Amino acid sequence: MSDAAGALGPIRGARRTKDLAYRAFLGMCVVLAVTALGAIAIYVVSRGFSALSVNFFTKEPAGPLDPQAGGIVQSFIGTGIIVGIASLIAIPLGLLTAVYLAEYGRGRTASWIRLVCDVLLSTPSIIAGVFIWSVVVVTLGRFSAFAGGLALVVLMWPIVARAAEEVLRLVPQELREGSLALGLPRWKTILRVVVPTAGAGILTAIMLAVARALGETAPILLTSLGNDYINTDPMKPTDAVPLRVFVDARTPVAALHQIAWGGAFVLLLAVLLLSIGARVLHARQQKRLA
Amino acid sequence: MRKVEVVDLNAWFGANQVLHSVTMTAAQGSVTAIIGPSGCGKSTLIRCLNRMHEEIRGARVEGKVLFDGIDIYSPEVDPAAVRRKIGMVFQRPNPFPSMSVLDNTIAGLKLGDGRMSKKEGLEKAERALRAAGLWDEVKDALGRPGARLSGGQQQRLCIARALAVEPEVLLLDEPASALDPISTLRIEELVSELKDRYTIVIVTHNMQQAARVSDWTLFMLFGEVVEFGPTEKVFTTPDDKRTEDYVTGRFG
Amino acid sequence: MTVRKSFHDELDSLQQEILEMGELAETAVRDSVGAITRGNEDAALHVIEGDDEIDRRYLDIEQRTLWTLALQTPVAADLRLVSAIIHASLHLERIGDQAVNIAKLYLLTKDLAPSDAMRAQISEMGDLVVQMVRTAMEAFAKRDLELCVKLPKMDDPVDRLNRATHLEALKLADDPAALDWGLHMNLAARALERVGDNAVDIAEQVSFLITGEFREFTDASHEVVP
Repeated sequence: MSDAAGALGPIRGARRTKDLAYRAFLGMCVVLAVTALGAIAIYVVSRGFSALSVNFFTKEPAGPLDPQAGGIVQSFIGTGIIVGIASLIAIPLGLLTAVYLAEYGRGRTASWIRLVCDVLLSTPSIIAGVFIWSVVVVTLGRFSAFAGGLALVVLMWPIVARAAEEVLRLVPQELREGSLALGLPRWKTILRVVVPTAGAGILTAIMLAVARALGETAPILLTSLGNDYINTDPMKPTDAVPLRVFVDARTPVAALHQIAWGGAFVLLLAVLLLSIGARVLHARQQKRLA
Repeated sequence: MRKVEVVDLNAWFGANQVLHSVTMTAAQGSVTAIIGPSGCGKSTLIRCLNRMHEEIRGARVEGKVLFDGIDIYSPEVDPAAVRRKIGMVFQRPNPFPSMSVLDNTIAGLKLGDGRMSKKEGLEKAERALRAAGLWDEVKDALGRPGARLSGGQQQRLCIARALAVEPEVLLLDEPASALDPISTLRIEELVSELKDRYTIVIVTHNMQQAARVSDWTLFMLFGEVVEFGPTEKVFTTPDDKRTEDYVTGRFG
Repeated sequence: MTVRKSFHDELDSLQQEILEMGELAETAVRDSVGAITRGNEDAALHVIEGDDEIDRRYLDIEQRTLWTLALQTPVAADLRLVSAIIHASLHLERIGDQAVNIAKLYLLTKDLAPSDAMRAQISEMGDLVVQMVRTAMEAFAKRDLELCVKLPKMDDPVDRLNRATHLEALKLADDPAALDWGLHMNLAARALERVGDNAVDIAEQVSFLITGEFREFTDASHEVVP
């Protein structure tokens, strides 16, 4: 009798217990994950928030006599310059690569390019740093923001390329066909129909790449070296926020630790905003293609 | 007058031959329907008429397709130019989501070679949308995204888009199969209205639609032409038994 | 934009054609009877020639209705309309043929002496059946069920007159020439009676078109209750 009822009726008995057990287990996993993330965020926020001040954003590090009066303005400017240089190179390069892979790449060349991208994606970032160090820093004889930017290009390019390629692939083939059937050439089809349709998705890819670049420390260490003072010359050593966090955390000075927490907080905030923004755009893009 | 003439056409997907020695004509100002069971090659055939078949990787065509006497497959001919003269509407409506209704309609013109003033663009759009029977429904909403219309409206937008380029031939690849019955009948009525000015070739898996709408009917099976004749004849006294079996629903 | 406009236009055109065919048939019957009652040879010849037009329309309707069925797959009232048109055209073509028969019968007997009594009967029959054809076609044009139902009753006096002409013809037995004329006229009366039956059949078809139910109004083997 329970079988007959079970075919159409509500979940009962042993099945119900199992169901509840699985739900409880999954619920616990969610709680664990959220707790971990939450713990980090809360900790960073609580430690870092108090470091934020006008000085923090506008002054260079102060001397040993009054360390908390200083700030890390040169790091913000430096990050802006380095990530800016990297973006200027990596984004166009990445988009062109993505277009090639999605629209033209069927043969062996495309497979090789994809392989290179995938390898670079999972390469430890310090290797990018070492590579640029030996190719650019040694050749030029100096550390520079430019070299730092190049190191970040190595990391950003595959992200833009692969993420944008995925979005371009998601654009339905029928749109390309519709455009070609109007007598439009292939390149115009890509430029004026496919890319605009992928629009928000491409922006997402870029945001993800920038979010990654913002937080990289090791490659910058080996190529840009860092700086205690503001530097706007891309050919000279420049500071960056994650680098500064690293450096300050290793000092014995408590006030500098505080500033390091502040830097960590700002980084976390930036990455969070970019990630959430990317998600929102992604959702909107999904709706548009549906 | 023979507007489009297909002579001994063969087509392949890679090593797989899907069209065998197809020969047919579409007379000026007529509607020719291509019918046949799934996989008989009707979509492939229609895509060979505007050189869309070769856009697929590994696809190959041999034979002649004459448009006003000129072989569109000869090496001097630009495929894009062919497609401006021979337009196509696809099975599933495919308006460009990144563009408004207005921009969609004149996309072929705006993104093509010509430069147009805004006024000219609007005029051409209105003409095309009227021809497609959509103007009254969208004239106050030209700025709306093209993809926000209903299915039937989207398909008529695609027809307007194809007409705006002022082709001479219109190819319709199962234009109504994704639509509800009333939208389907509206598309059919549109085809009757358009045939004065265009030569139309329509692929359909709906035999009654072919019967209602066309002047000539081509019946295909396994990539070959079985019968090609006036629609009344094909549906009342077909020559070939296979045609008879298909239209009476004995197979397919 | 209306949907399936060309199909519905074709139905309207077919209906128009059947109504015109009705008028032609009606006129043919009237003129052929007129030839007998007024001794008009030209009228009779005219009726015989005019049958070509009726036959032409019959074939045209045949072909167009066949194509309409094949190409437009009509359903519901549209389908019943096409069916009614096919049947009506057949009956009207028969009526046309009967008119030709009557005209030919006149031509065969035009030089014989007529019987006024029989002529009067034929004239009356002629009026009645012409009215029947007209009523049936009017019922078709207006989709009027009441008119349809009138037809069987209109047929009764025609049947009576038909029997009466038979009796009248017997009276002419003494004079061979008169009998000759009389027997031919009897056939003419029979032709008119057939016209009446065809008119009733048309009304049956119209009744089916309107109600969707097929009822026989007259049946040779049974007494039909209306």
